[in-house]
Amino acid sequence: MTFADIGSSICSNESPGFLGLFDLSTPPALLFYSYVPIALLVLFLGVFVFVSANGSRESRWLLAVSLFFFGWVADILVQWVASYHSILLFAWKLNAIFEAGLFLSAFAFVYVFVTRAPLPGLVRDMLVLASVTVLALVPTQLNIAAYDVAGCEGVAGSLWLWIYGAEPALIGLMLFIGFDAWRSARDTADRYRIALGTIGTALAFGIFFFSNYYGELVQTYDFNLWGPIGLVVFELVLGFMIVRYRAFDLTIVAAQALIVAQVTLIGSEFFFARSATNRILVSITFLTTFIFGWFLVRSVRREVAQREEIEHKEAELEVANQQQVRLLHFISHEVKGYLTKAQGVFAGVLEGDYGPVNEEARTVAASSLGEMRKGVALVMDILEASNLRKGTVAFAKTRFDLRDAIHMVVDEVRPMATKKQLILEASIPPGAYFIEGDEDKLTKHVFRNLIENAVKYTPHGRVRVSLARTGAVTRLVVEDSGVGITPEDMQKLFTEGGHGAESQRVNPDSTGYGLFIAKQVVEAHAGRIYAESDGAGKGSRFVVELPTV
Amino acid sequence: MNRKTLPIGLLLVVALSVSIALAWHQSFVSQDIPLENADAARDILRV
Repeated sequence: MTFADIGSSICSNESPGFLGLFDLSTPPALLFYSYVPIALLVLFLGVFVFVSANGSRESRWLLAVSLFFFGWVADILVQWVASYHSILLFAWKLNAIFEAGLFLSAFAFVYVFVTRAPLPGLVRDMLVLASVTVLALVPTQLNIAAYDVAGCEGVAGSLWLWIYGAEPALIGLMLFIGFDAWRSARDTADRYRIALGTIGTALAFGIFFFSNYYGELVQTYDFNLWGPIGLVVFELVLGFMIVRYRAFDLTIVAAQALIVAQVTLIGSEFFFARSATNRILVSITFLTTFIFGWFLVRSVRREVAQREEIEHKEAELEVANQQQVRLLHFISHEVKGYLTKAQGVFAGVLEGDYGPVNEEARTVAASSLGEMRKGVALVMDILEASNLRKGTVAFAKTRFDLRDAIHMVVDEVRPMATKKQLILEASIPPGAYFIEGDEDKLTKHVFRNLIENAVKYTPHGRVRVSLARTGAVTRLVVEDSGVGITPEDMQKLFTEGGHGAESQRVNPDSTGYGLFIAKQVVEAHAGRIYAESDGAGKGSRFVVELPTV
Repeated sequence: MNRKTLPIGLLLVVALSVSIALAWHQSFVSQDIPLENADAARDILRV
């Protein structure tokens, strides 16, 4: 008896209903549900990643893995459903090409993925040698030694021993290369990428190998059906990682993959639909899923495009903002120079450096000097705010007693309060109030600023400064019975250049930068500053909290 | 594509084509492949 004698009489449960060559009723249902969607999904992802990553080296190898996997699945499907022994035998013979190609390309993929370099000549030559050897042995009996008439299947030859031996070895090599690259990588994100890529690939192919090998060992091919599932996860993770730095969005891929999987699953129902009613129902479901899927993907795509545009605009805005800050800094710096020179000239006039001047000229010089000083103060504030915003201000770190600093400021501001007939009182219970930070900057920009402001914005009544320690926080409170803060003004109180609606009428010298700078300085010391007021005319309460040491 | 990629690609394509053609020939034309469990099949086919 020869192979030609077998005909279609053996395995007689097979009736070639599909294309006159295949019987779709033989295999277990899991075959269609797991293999068909998975193969299509992997192929789709492979192509998608290849296109998204503009055919980068990694994406080319991922596409090769996807194509080999698709071929492998198609080959296995043919083995399950072929009604003729010649087709069956042909599929059994070709399986070695797909299996070897799948593992060799997966190895090459891991190599270029973790090293981000092309394959070295030696590795490439070894891969070519292995491929050519497998191709040369495919038509020999070393691949398929015989045809088992009873089981309607090929009998694996010794080539398969080599293939099954090489697969775990390749997985081991992948892990070795991954570990080596992981060890020498400096960047944490790169290490994470390498670890995830290597372990993901090794795990997916490990499961794939084990399910095939075990199925072959116990001659129960249902085991083989589970292997490919891991590969989908592999494709998703790796595909995402390859193109994450490019125009790629997982939301779109997820939506597309979901629709492809659903359409494929519903489409596979056509193979099982026996009655006309079933076919019509499946057709309606298929069409509905397709149409809704189309709209879903389109809307997700649109949303992602909008988000990307917003992010792009945001980046542009940030650049424009930076340029503005630099320009402002430059102009302020220049203006400060001119103002300082003019200030020197007026001071010289007043001090008689240019000879005696009449009273009228002295008055003009004194008024101009005052204006110049205000101008310099404003420019200094703008510069300070700009530096704080740019993060180029260096803070000294010394341990000092807040109590001394506050007493000093209160004493300095007291003449101003007395002149306005205000009561300025300091309530500081005995004890040490040590904090760590830049004493000069805190005193000038925060403590003096708040206490002076309280005096300036209080036409009559009192200003009370108190200091207290609560746990790990030292709290300074500056309370006044002054003009108060309206809820509208409260919104822009600590903003750059933010003036209250009435503030310039009460305090014409206000630059609008004082509280902004105070906030930046306090926050640089890991502290908190805030204000409270019951409204216009009801006084204000400014609170500064700093960590105690 | 560098100078070495093209010959390697060509080699692989030729090897693949020859391999598939030979496998096809054996499966569909010559069909010279040993059979296993042929006795059991012979009983069914009575040849």
